[in-house]
Amino acid sequence: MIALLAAARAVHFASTAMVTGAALFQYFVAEPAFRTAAIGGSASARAYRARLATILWTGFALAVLSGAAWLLALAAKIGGQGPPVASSGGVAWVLLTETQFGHLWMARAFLAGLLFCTLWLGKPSDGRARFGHGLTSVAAMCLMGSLAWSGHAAGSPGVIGDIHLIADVLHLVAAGAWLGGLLPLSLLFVLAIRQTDPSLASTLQMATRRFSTLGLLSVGTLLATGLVNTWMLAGSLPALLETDYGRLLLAKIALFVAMVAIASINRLRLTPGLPQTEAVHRLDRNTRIELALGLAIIAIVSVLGLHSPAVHMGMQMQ
Amino acid sequence: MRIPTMLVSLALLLVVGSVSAHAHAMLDHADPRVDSTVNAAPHEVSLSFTENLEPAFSTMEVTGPSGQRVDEGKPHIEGKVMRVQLRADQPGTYQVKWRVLSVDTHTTEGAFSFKVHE
Repeated sequence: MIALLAAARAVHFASTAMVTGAALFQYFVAEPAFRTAAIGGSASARAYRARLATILWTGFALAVLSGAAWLLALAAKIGGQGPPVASSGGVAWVLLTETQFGHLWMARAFLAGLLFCTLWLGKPSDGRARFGHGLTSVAAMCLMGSLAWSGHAAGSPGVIGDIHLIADVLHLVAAGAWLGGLLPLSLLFVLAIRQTDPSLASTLQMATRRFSTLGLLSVGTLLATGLVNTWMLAGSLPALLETDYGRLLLAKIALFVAMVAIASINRLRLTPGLPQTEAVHRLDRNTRIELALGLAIIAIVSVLGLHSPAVHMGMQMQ
Repeated sequence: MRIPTMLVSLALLLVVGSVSAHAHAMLDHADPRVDSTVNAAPHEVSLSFTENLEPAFSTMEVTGPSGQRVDEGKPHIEGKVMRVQLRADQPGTYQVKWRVLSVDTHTTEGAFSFKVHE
């Protein structure tokens, strides 16, 4: 059941990031690049938007399904080990209606409904629907950021808890913007490689620059939220090496640093070489590597949230 | 700053930054205290945790010296505190078993005992 729960969490994080990143990518990266190059109405731009729409709708559907799976897997986990109190009404129902997690899930279902409306009315396949794209971005960021209330920060009371919560919201949105933007970026490279349309190649440099600015903002935000954690919670460094939780966290940090390294190479070394074919190919390859590293980070995060801390037993007997 | 220097600093910053607390509900203190000896049988057991609890999925059982349940059933939960009334008057060792769900959906459990002076 733990494995099922971890899988549901992983798919939910990834798909929510997919929607958030794709929506932000369209609004802040792709459409401005198309407009600047004055190719918004071209066949290439239309083909690209059609694929972006597929990413958005697929991500949305996966997010809804995995969100439901998360609730059910959690209910099964609690029901399997918990008291018989809830069995009469159905553990999932009690979880949904009587707990903070359930109330959060109902609020997020409402947000998912709003996101559906913005996708439906905002038309990601229509380049002129800027307002709709903006609304989609906002709804997706809300859906991503609200995940903070399901995590560790939700349990911390008081001002410290609020700061932790705000840090987590920003952390999630920043991670979603960066990780979720990698797939649309990769698609742009693929389209540029396949198509002979020279105007599309001319948008690549601008799109890559804009995305790397978005990435810099994300990394800055991820760092700042890490510092907030340091300031609030003085933990022990040995715990990082001695516990599974700590080792997973170190693996996550190593992957993150590798992603930042690749992103730096992309920005400083490869982007100036655009729109030459070799630069496009190398950027495309690097983006795919970043995407794989990002998915590995999501897999770690989905397990991390389920782990019991090492201090667990010691603290109970005070 | 060169890229390698930047990345090493970044890694160090994150290692330090990621040492965060885990918000599982741990027992902070109990009344009667864990492993204590009290003069008279208490009317209730009160447990304070480090996190807010979900009443729907949090329970406590208290058994008396002869192994019988002495709690009045469903505990009363408010925020981080869970308390249950007792119908106990015998001296001897009492066992308290608890299992709680914190608001961030982590289950924790534990047990301890206290003694009532003969």
